[in-house]
Amino acid sequence: MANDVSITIVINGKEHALEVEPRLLLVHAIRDRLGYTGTHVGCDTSQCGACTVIIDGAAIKSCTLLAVQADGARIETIEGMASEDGELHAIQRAFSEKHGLQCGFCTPGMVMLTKAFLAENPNPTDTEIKHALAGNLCRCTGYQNIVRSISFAAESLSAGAAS
Amino acid sequence: MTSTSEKQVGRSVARKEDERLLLGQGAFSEDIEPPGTVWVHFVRSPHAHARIKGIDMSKTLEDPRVLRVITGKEIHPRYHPLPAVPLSAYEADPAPFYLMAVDKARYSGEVVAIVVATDRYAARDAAETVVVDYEVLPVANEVEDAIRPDAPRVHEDRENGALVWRKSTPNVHQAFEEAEVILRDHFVNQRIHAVPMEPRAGIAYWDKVERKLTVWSSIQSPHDLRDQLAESLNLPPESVRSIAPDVGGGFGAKHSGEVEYILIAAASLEVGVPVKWVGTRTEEFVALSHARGKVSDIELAATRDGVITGIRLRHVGDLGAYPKGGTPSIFITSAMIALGAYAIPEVDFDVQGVYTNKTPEGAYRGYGRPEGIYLIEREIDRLADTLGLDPAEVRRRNFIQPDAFPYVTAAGEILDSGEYEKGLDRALEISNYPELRSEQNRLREEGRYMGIGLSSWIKTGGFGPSSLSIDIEAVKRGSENSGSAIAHGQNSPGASGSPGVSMPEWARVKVVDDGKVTIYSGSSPHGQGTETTFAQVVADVLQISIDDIEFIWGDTGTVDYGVGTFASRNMVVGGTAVYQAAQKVLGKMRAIAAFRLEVEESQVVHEGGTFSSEQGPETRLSFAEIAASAGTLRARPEGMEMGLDESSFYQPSRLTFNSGTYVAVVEVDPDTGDVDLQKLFCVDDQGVVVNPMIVEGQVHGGALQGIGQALYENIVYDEYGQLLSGSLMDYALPTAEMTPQFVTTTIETPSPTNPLGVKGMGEGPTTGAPPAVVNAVVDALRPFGVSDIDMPLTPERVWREIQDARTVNGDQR
Repeated sequence: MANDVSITIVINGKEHALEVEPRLLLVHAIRDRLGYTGTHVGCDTSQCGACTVIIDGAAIKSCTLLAVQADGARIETIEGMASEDGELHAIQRAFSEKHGLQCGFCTPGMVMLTKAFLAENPNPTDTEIKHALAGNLCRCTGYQNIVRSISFAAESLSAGAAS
Repeated sequence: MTSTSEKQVGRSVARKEDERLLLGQGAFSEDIEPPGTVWVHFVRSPHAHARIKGIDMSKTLEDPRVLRVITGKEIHPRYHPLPAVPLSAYEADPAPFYLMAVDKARYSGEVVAIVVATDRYAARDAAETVVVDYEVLPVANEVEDAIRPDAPRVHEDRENGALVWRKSTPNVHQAFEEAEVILRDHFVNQRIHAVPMEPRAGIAYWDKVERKLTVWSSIQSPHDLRDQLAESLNLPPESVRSIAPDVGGGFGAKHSGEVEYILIAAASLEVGVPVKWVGTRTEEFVALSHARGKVSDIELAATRDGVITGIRLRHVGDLGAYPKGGTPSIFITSAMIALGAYAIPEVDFDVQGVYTNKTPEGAYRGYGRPEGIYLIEREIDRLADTLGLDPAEVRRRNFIQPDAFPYVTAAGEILDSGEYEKGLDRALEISNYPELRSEQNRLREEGRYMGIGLSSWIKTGGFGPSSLSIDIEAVKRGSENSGSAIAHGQNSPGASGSPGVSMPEWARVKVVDDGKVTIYSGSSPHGQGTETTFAQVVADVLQISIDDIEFIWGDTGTVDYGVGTFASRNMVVGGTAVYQAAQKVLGKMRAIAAFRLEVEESQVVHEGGTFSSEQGPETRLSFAEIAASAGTLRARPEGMEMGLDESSFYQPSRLTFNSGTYVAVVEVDPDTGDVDLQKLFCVDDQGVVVNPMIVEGQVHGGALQGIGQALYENIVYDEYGQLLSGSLMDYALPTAEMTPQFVTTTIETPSPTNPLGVKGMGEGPTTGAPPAVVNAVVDALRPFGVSDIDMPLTPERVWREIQDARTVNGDQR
C-alpha cells in the first residue's frame, strides 16, 4: 500500500522486517503478519490483557500499540518463554502445577505479565499479586489459582536464583 | 509415568492439555487461516427495531478489496432459519430465528449485511460505506412493557408474550388460605453476558471441487453446528465437516445457534474460498447471546415455625428478539427449581416467555436454574428474618431428607440423591458460623456492618435425559435404565409434564497394537480438563498409564457422533460413554486372556495392569500383549473379530442433581455502599469427584461468575433499545482484586443414575453464589431495615437502599 512504513521488530531474539500500514496494531503484526499466534486478542478497549507482551522489560498490551510505534523494539512473547529444547520456564511450570489455567486463552498474557512483574517484585504478597493482575482478565479460573501460580513461580525463581 | 496399579479417579492429576496452552501453541479459531482466506465484517443494525427499506452498496463495491456484499434478501430465499428446538411444553411454536435481518431488524446488533473483503482491515473499511435506509419503529424494550397487548410486536404474526406455561398442584390455594405466614416479593434476575475471554471466530471453507464444507469455529457443540449448517444451507450432512479447535471459554453462550458461522459458510459458498470472521469484543456484546433476564413475583406460605407449605410464582423471562436454542424451555425449568432443596408440597407456576427488541438470550452457566434458586434462597432468608429465626435453622426445617430420595418435587422433577443437611453442617463448620455471628455482633457495636449469607442450592447435571417424566415407582423398584421406567405424558404417578430431550453422548475407545489407547469423544471441552479426566476414567478401567492415552474430540470428520459440552453433562454423559466403551474393550481383553490362559473368563484376574488367572497367578499377560493378541489370528478365540475398538452411546434416563451450601462473608460501608466480599465458603456435593484440583478450579471460576451477577455485572439498554454496557469498559467483569478468598471442600453423595456415580458440577457454583452474597449484604444492613436490594449490588444501589430504609424508618443512624 502506498503509505506503508518499513519497520523492524525483534521477537524473542529474532529480527523481522515488515512493511505495515500506520494503523496496523502491534498485536496484528505479531499474529497475522509474523505468525506468533500465542498472543491473543480478547477485547478492543485494553481491559483484558490477553495481548500482553514484554517490550524492553515492561509488560505492554500489544493491542494498544501500533506496529510503527514498536519499530526497533525488542519484544518477548509467550513463544519465547520455554527454553530452546522446549523445557518450560519456571513460570509456565508453576501455572500448570497450581492449575492456573483452564481454557488457556488469557494464559499467555498472564504468563508474560508475571515475568515482567516478578522481575520488578520478586517476592510479592498476594495483595500485590492481585493488584498486578488488575489489567489481566480471566473468566474461567476465578483468579485464586492464578495468584497461587504466581506466588509459587516467585518461590521457584528465588530458589533457582539462590542455587 | 503414572503407575498402573494406582487408582486415578479421585487424584489431582496434572492436566495433559496444559503444556501446549502454556507454550502458546493452542490453536484457537482466530489462529487458523487456510491459504486464500478472505475476511467478513458484518454490518449490524444500530436500531433495535427498524424496517429495512434499502441497502446501498454502490460505494462499497467500488472498493477493489471488496469481493461481495450479501444481504438478507439473497440469504433468505435460498437458506433456512436456524432449525427450531420444539417447545412442546408451551402451546405456541417458537418464532423463526432468521440467519440475518431481511425486511426488518429486530434488535440492535442484528446482521443486516455481510461484507466480504481481502483482509480484516479492508472489510471494516468497506462496511462503513454500506448505506442502509432504515425506518425506525417503536421498540418493545423492557419485559414489563413488551408483554402488554398493545406493545410493538417483535414478530408480526404473534404477541410478544405468546409463550405461556402454567402448572399447579391441587391444594395450593388451600395452603395459602391456611398459612400462618405469607411473604410476597418481587425479584429481578438482571440480564448479563457470559463474556468468554475468547470472542467468537470462525473460518468456513466451501471446497467447490470436492463439494465439501469445512467450518472451524469457537463452539461447544461441533456436531450440532454441523447439523445446523446442513439444514440451513441445504447441504447433505456428510458433506459438512465442523471442527471445534481450542475454544477459549463458552459457558453455554457458544452452545448452539450461532448464525454468524452459518453466514460465513453461505459467503464461502458464494466466493469459493475460505471466509474468516473474528468477532470484536464490542461486537460480541450485542451479537453473542445474553442470559438470565427474568422478572419474578413469588409468594411463600409457611407455618409460624418456618416450614414452607406452598409457593406461588409468576416468572417472566426475556427471550430477546429470537428464541435461541432451548432458551424458552429454560424459563419453565427455572421456575420448577424454585422449590430448591426443600420439601415444599404445593406449587402454582405461571411462566411466560416474552420477545423483546434485544439480543437473543441463550444458555449461560446454570441455564435458568440460578434464577430459580435465587428466588427460593432469598425467600428462605426473608422468612427467617420475618420469624426471627436463624437462616440456617429455617433451611434445616425444610430440607428434603436423605432417605426420601429419589424424591419427586411438587413440580415433577426427580431428584436423584443428596445430603443437604450434611452439606449445610459442613459449611457451618468450615466457616465457623457461630464465631462469624459473634464477630458480627462485636463489629455492630463498633458501628461496622458485617454480613453473613447462606445459600443451600441444588442444580441439575448430566443434561439430556430421555425423559423428564419418570415413573417413580419403577425407579424405586430399581429398573433404572429399563424402558419401562420411563413414562411419558400425564398418566403415570409422579409424572411431570415435560418430555425429555434425549441428548446422549458417544465415545469410542481404540487400542493400537503397542498398547496405546485413543479415546474419541463427542464431548467438546473448552477448559474443563477433559483430556485429563477422561484419561483418568479409562486408566482405571484398563489399568494403564494416563500417559498412554490420547484424546480426540471436536471434529465431526473424526468423531462419528457427538452432542457436546454444556449443562454440566461432560463427565456424567461424556464420561459414562467413555467408561462404557472402555468396559467393552476390557470385556474383549478378558475373553482373549481367558483363551490364552486356557481358563474360563470368570477366572481371569485383572490387576496391576496385567491379566492372570486364579489357578496360575504366576503367568501374567501384559496389556500390550493382550492388545497384540487381538490382532493375531491364533492368539484370539476362534470367531472373534480382530482389534480392540469399541464404541458406546450413553443416554441418561434422568437428570442428576448436585447440591451444596455456600456461606458468604461481607462488610458493607454504609457511607459509600461499597461491599467488601471477604470470603466465600463453598461446600459442593457433586457426587464422585474425578479430579479434585479441577473441581476446585471449577468452583472458583463458577462462583466468581455468580458473584459477578450479584455485585458487578449488568447488561443495560436505554429506552431506544441501544446497548449501553457494550464493552469491557462499561461491563464490570470481575478482576482479581474483586475476588474473595474461596474456601472450598466437597462431600460425595454418589449419583445412582450412572456407573461413575458423578453428578457434573460446573454450574453449581454459579447457582449457589449469588443468593449467598445478596443474603450476606441484606444481613449486614438489617439494622437499617433493608430487606432487599436488586442485583447487581453496586455501591450506588446499596447506598440508595440504605437511604430509603433510613427515610422509611425515620432513622438518624
